[in-house]
Order: sequence, then structure tokens, then C-alpha cells
Amino acid sequence: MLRRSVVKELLKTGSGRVGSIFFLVLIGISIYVVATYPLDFGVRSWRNPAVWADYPKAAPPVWTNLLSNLRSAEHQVLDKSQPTQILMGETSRTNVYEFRTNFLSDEPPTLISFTLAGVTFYERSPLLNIRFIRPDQNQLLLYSFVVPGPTAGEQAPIKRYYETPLRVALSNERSAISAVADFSRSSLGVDVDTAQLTREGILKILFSSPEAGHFRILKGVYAVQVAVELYDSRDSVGSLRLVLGGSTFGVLGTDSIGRDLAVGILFGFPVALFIGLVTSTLTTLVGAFAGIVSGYFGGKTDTLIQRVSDILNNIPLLPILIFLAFIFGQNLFVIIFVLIAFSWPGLTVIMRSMVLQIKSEQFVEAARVLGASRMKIVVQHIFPQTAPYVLAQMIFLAPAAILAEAALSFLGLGDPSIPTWGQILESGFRSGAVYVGFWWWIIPPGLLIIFTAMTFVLIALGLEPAVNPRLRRLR
Amino acid sequence: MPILDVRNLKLHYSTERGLVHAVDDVSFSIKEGEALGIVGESGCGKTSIAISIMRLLPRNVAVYSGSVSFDGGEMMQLPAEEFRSSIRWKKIAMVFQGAMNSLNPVLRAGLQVAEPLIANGTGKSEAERRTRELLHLVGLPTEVFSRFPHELSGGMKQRVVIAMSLIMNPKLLILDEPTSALDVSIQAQIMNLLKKLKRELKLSTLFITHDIALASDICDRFAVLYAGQIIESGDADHILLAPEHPYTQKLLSSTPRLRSEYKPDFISGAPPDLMTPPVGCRFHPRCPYVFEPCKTDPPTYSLSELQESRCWLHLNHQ
Amino acid sequence: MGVARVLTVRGATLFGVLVAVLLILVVTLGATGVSDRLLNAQVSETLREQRQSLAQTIRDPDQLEKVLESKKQELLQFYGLDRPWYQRLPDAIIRVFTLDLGSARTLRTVGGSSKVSELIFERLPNTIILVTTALAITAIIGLWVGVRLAVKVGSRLDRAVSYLSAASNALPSWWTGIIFILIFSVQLHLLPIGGIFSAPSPSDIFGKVLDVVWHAILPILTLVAISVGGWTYSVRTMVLNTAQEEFVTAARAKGLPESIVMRRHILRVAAPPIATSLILGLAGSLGGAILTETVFNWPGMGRLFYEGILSFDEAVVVGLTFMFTVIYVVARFLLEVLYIVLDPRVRY
Repeated sequence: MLRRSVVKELLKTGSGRVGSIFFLVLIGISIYVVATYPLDFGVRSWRNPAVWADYPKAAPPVWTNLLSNLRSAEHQVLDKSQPTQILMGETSRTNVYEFRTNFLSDEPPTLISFTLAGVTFYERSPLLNIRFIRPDQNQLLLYSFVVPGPTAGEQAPIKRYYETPLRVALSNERSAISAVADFSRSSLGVDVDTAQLTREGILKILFSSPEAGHFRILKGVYAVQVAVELYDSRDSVGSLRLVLGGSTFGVLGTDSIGRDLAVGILFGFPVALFIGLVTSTLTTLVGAFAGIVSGYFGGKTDTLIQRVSDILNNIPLLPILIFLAFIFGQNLFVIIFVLIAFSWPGLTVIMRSMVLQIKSEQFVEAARVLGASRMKIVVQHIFPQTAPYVLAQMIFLAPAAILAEAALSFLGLGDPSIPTWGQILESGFRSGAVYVGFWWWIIPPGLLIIFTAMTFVLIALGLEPAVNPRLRRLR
Repeated sequence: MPILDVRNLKLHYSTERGLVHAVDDVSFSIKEGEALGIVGESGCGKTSIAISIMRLLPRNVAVYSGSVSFDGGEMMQLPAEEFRSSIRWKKIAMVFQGAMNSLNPVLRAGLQVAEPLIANGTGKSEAERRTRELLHLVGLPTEVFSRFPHELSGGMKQRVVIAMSLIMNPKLLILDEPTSALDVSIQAQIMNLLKKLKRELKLSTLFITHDIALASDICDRFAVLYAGQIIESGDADHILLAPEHPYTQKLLSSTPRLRSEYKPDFISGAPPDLMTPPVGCRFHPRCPYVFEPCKTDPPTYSLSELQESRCWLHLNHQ
Repeated sequence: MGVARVLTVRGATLFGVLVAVLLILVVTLGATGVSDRLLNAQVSETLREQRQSLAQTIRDPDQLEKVLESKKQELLQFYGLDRPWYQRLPDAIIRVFTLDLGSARTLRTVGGSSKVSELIFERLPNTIILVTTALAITAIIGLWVGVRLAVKVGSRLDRAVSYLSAASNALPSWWTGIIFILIFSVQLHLLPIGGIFSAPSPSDIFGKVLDVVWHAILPILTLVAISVGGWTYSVRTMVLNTAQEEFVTAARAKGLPESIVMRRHILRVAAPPIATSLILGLAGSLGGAILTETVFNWPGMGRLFYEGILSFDEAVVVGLTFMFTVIYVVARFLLEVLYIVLDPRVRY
């Protein structure tokens, strides 16, 4: 009953409606993230440089291309774990993995690299052939490779590249260079010597066609086919990755160690909501409980609670927060606990005075005269009266908690196992991203902190009409 | 010639819920040295009359019209700045409802009394001397001069406020419920003071109150206000002893009296909402004598030279 | 009489705050064993110094070791390291209170001293300059704009400020500072990215002062930007509340010019609650200063906090936590006195 009327009031105001929509967006994204991310994302992926080895360092988002005349290459990381095609031979089976990309940049990629992970074989070593197919249907065999066979005494099944994947920088590979030189001569009719190719790279030729003595970038769909020939039905291939190097990446770009910022920022959604909601809920519970006890029961308990909350309420929060987070180690739950420990008194002081007022109202006196127990009076008569106000306070506490955690993270006291927007900003600040103008690293996480905090502020503002008449009546 | 002549005064406020007809076509006048009492229930527009004369209009005024002539001069056309500097407090002063709220809590009482004098160029010491005189006149010890409001009792504050209203020797004094927030015994003291001042200073007074019995002591004439309109007016004896309008009759019979067997009556129903006043006679929903014509607005009948009433019952008098 | 009582009551709470923070500091340090570590570091440092001086006089290595061992026992006893931490609490409190916290690990003053107290006091003036300037500017803008907003309630500007003040509840100061650097320093090259002096600092006093002002613009702008909205809005609300009081109408009725009504009957009365909101905003300002100094590399106590965290220096962090509390308590007390001066109802 009460709940429904509060929601109704909330949706009546503009800020309440906007806040509610924002809140649903936050919840939606958070649910998606919780469902798709591993719980140990922070340790396993975010803080693990190996995961990000194939990503460009400090690359701006792809859409920045729209802002400049020259379209620079987008960094692409293409993964395949299932073959596109399986060709059965007499004694062998060939898994064909085809990577396709529509290439529209005005400059060639900065690199091509190929990664192979998790090969198991029994009898003969598998053979890899990497074929490069251009939009003009010209093609060449770029690279061939045989997985090393068993060493002395090694028993089948032979496992290769499970711990350290095989990574081949195709653009620097000697055999690839000579293959390109052959290709240039035979298919494009341009003589290039391998020394020059080694110096200038093969990518310029691979991604362009000659035109009036110049190489002109050839736009269109390129394909890279990796054919893995396997000689035993039990042989298997784990995953393959093709990286086309470029200077832009993804929706939000990367940071200086190549981390996809979009991935980290998405993870920040549930974390921010968790911090805001848990801190505000627990703070409110403690604060309201202490306030009701203090106001309703009075006496020494009251005096004690008032003294303690008076002092806690006046301690400057950030310095003590820094100190405790510093000494107790960077743990999110320590931070939340400290935030609760120093924020409950604000609500207690107000609750107490509200309870004192309600207590002396006639209907409470009447209930007492009729023999209602203290507990019953508190639960049935006092708490419902204060509930909307408590709710509004609770919502107002959430942005404060989110901002406090972000501030601590920024000072280097964030929980390293749980990446937050504050930490992404901190690494940006500490590594000097600000001073070299890596704005894509700095602006989105900050805007999201503001967005999330603002969501709660808007809801709190929207609740004001629902809360205030009751308050006015009490005063 | 009357010192104050108000004709067809209207003051409407716009609020979120609609237009409030606080003062609706009110006319009255006050002769020099005379005290007119405006009586009515709370919320009938009494204070609005005072603030429209003083031109202390709130922000949400929608209609402010009519004529207010003071000492022969029309004031509605006077520019705001001229009205402020030449009329307010110098010609017309006012004692506000609830003295505790009309004193600035952080200024000493004496300064607040002397303030208009100083603002008009009187020297500090001269202003202080005048103030002390006035404080003495209203029966306060002169050390009140350097006291803060919160150090004074309710009655003392009321006296300070009265002294404050007299500082510029105004010709007309508006008293808006000057005693309503006080204890009965203090109320009597203040009323005695006001009577004394009226006698000694020959002030013309507009006395606004809900308490007709209290006002009877001081007022020469009365105007009875109901739902933003004056429904009866006349000299004190006629109104108090021979009220003609049913509302005035009810109002008087609902006043408890000392040393009398008489049981106070009450007026049934609730006072009208000024947002949507009743059509016709505004009192008709509560009137015991209601009959057909009451559905239309009654004219004001002059019952004698000294008494007017706005009621269809007087139809036959003419 | 009254003043003394009121000041005692307010002072007692503030004193309680100081004691509470001291207790939190020493108990946390003691219970986590950090205090042992800090004191042991102090002992070994003293021993190192003594070894050097003693080595000049005592040639025999065995004898030297023996002398040093006895010195060490003496020191351990002196610092109370032979007793459990909770028995050392009084000592620990005194040590924090007097900022006798030994040496910083890597941080040094300009003069090369590593003493924590010297480090802190070297940075103190820079923080005070930054915070007070920003507060003064915020206060002036807030008063000036707030009063004007109160006069035209409901105007477009009024609504804009009310949204702005709500939004500033969600604005992290440090991020705002970073964005300012990005815009004004990196993109537009208008202002320095941080620090307090230019690399070759001007030699004359006048040039030096200008240089500091030059570097202070962005940090101050940041501090003002995050607090001015809320502050303006609260000034506006308090002026508005006062303007609706009966005595203001009375003052107008008295024929006083509007300037006197505003100054004497509205602002003067609204001053105590305005002072209160200044008091309540103080903790936030100090927090904002810690973060803003960090962003702009402003060599104040806030930046020192960050440097202390980065160099894992417990002594510096402890000293600064306490010092910030002291500054807060002192400033609060001064503002409480200001409040009493402004409000005669409390004074008598």
C-alpha cells in the first residue's frame, strides 16, 4: 500500500521519471554483466597483461575515425574455435578456419599476427597453411607451419601450445616476406626486393594494388584461411586468433597496456550499484534503528547513542577513510564497512527527533493507553510514519557511497581484485594519460560515475513531494 | 472629510488551486480621530484589507483595484517609491498581528523603533531620545532600548511594536489583531494602553480583530466583514446593541459574556472558502433566515444614517 | 555566561571528535601491528646513526656490537616495544598528538629532512592558501548570486541553479579537475597542468607570487566549481525563508528603502543559518582539497597524503589523518564562534 503510493508519487515528477529510467538502465546492464562475466574477472582478466597482449596500446575508439578525414585502421582481434569448414581427405582431415573482414581504412594495418592455442595430436604433426585472399580474388600462401613432433620419450596424445599459445607475427616472418615478394612479381607485376620489404613491411603490398606507379589501398572484403591438416580422428585444435593491427579499437578504445576499456567499464556497472545499494541500505538500517531506539526508549541509551552519533557525525570522513583503507588493505568490503560506520549517525539524529515528535502525538498515546506493547507501537505506528523519509535518505546515501569509493580508488586505495570506474580513472591519471590527452580513457568512467550518482539524486529529488507533506505535518 | 476613504477595494490572489477573493469590493471610511473596527472570523480577508492599504502585497496578487484616498489624496496611483517614502509609517503606520514575529530577532529593540527616524535623516542621539520617550509612553522601562527581542516578554514586545508604530507620528494607525497572541491579563493592559494613546494622541485608528467584545471598548464604529465583503457597518452602539444583519446577530450572540445567564450561541456550518464563495449572499448557506432572494447578491441598505446592512431581509425597509 | 556555556557544549563535541580520531588511529595501528613496525623502524634508524658515530670511537667490532645491542635494548624499552601494544596506548596518543612519528620512508622536504612533522608543516601553508581562497571565492559568489536568486524565485536562472546544486551532489571533484586539465592545459594550453611553480621559477618576489597564482587558478576553479552550486542554492533558500518572515514585511511597512530591508532585515538575520551551512560544508571542502591537490600536484597536505599512500608510508598517512582532523576541528570552532557573534539569541 505504502510502497505503491511512493512509486506513484515518484513517477509523477519529471526527475523521478528520468531517475527511474536511468535506474532501470543501470540494473539492465548490471544483470547482463553479472550473467556474462566471470566473478574473478578482475584477477583473471583485467589485471592479467597476457590477456591483453594482442590489443593495441592506448588506442582511441573506432568511431573517432568519423571525426577525421583520413580513416585509420581499426584494430581487430578475431577469434575462432570452430572450423568454418572440414574437408575430409583419404588419410587426413583438414579444418579450415576462415577469418573475414571488410577493410575500409585509408591506410594498411600496422601488423598481422596469428595465434594458435591448444593442439592435441596422436600420430603425425598437424600441418598449417595460411592463405591470404584479397578482394580482387588474388591470393597467396602466406605461411606454412608444422607443429613440432614428439620429443624423445614423449607419449601420445601429444599436447602443444596449451600453456603458452603459439604466436606468429606474420608481418615480420621471413617466409611470408618472400611469399609476398613472389606474389607482387607474379600477380601484381611489380618487382620488389625482399630487403625493401623487410624494411617497409609487407602490409602495404598485401592491402593495395598498383596504380600508375603507386600502391593504392584496396578496400573490400579480405579473407585469411587457416587450413590445419590433421591425421588422426582424435586430433584436435583449440582456438585460433587473427589480429589485424590498427590505431583505433572498439567502442571505448584501450588503455596504455592494451586493455579494452569497454570491457572494464561494463564491469563497473554492477560494482557501482552494489556499492551504492549495499552501503545505503545497511547505513539506513543501522541509522534508523539507532534513531528509533534513541528516540523511543530515551534514558541512558539515548544519551549514549546521541553522544556517539554526534562525534561520529562530525569526524571528517575522507581522511579517516583513507587511513582505514590504507591500514586494513584495499578491500571493497572494508571500504563499505567503514562508510557505514561513519555515515549512520546522520540519519539517527533526524530519526530521533521525528520519533520524539510522533511519540507525543495523540494516536500513539491512545495506542499506549489501549495497552499496545512498545515493540508494537514502534513497528505499527512509528516506523510507517517515518518510512518515506527514511527511503529518501537511503537513496541519497547511495551517490555519496559511490563517490567515496571512487575517490578512494582514485587515491590508489581501490580493491585491486574488483575493477571499478574509479580505478580505471586512477590508472589513467597515474600513467599520465591526462597529460597526453587520452580523453577516451578519462571521460567515460567519470561520466558514468556521475550518471550513476545522478540517477540516485534524481530519484531522491523525485521522492521529495512524497516525503515532504509528511514531514511538514510532523513539524 | 474622512482621513481614509476606501472605495470598491478588491484584492485577489492567484494560487495553485485557483483565485482567492480575499477582499471583494469593500468600501469604508474613517473620520479624523475616529476608530473603526473591522470584525470578522479568521480567514475572511481582514488582514488583506490592511496590507492593501499599506500596499504590502505578496507576490501572487492577481487583482488589486479600487480607490484608497488618504487625507484627500488618491493613493492607488502613487508610484511605489513615492508611496514608500512619503506615506508608509509617516502617514499610516501599522501594528502587525503577532508582535513576536514583527521584530527582527538579531537587532536591538531600540534600533528597530528608531530605524524609520534614522532612515529619514534624524540624528542618532535625537532618534534615541525620541525612542526612549516613546518607550516610556507605552509603559516600558527605557533600558528596553538596548534589549534584543528574545529578552522581552510577549507583552513587552507588543508595547515595543506599538511604540515602533508611533515613532513617525502617523495620522492613521492600523492595528491588526494587536492582542490576539497575548494572555488575557496582558491583553487588557495593552487595550488600556491603546485607549490611552487614542485619547492622548488623537489618532485615527483602523482596528482589525475577530473579537468584537474586545474591540467594543475602543471603536467608535464597526464594519463587519464576511467572506471578503462588508455585510454590515454602523456606529458602535447600533452594531453592538441592535445588529441588523443575521451574521452580525449570530456573531454577537456567540460571544460569551461574564455575569450573565445567557448561553453563547454558535454559527452552524463552516466559514466559506474564499476560492469559491457562495453565489448570491455569501452568508446564505449558514443563515437561519435564508429565503428565495438570497440566491442573488443583496444590495447594501442604509437602515439609518448610522447603519448599513447588506441583506435581503431589509427589502421591506425601503 | 551564555556564550561560555554554548562554546563549551560545541567545543566538547569537537574535542570528542579529536579524541575519537586519536583513539581510532592508535588502536588501529596497535592492533594491526603497524605501530610495532613503525617504532622498530625508528629504533633501527637510531641504531644506524649510533653505529656510525660509535664506530669512530670503538675500534673493536665485538665490543661495538655489544654496545649497540645494549643500546638497542634501551631503545626498545624506551619505545615500549617490550610491552604489548595496548599498554603503550597513552604513549602512542601523545606521539600522534605531537606528530612525533619519526621519519618518512622516501619522502623528503625541500630542505631534505625526512621527519614526518617537518614534511607536514612544510605542506600546511599551501593547503591553507588553497582551501581558504577557494572557500572565500565560493562564499562571495554564493552570497552574491544566492541573494539575487532569492529575489527572483522561479526564474530560469533560479531553476538552473537548483538543478546545478542537485547535480553537484554527483560530481567528483577530482574528475572535474582532470577534465579541467584536459580542456585548459592539454587542449587549449592556457594554464599549467599542475605544480605550484614554473620550472625555472621567477626570481623576484612579485614574479613568484604571480607564478603561484597562475598555478592556483585551476585547482581553485575546481574547488569552487564543485561547491558553488550547492552553496548558492542554500544561500538562496535561507534568504528566501527569511524574506518570508513577518518582520521583513514590518520593515517594508516602516517605509525603509529596499537596500536596508535586504541588508539589515534579511541578510543579517539569514547570516547565522548561512554560517551553519558553511560549517556543515567544511568537511566536504577538506576532502575536496585532498583530491584536488592530488590531481593538480599542488604541494599541500592533500598531495602529501597521496604521496604517502603511493610510498606505503604509514607514518605520513597517520600524521596527515590527524592533522586534517585538527584543522577541521579548529576551523569548525572558529566558525562556531562566528555563529555566536552573528546570532544574539545564542549570545545572551
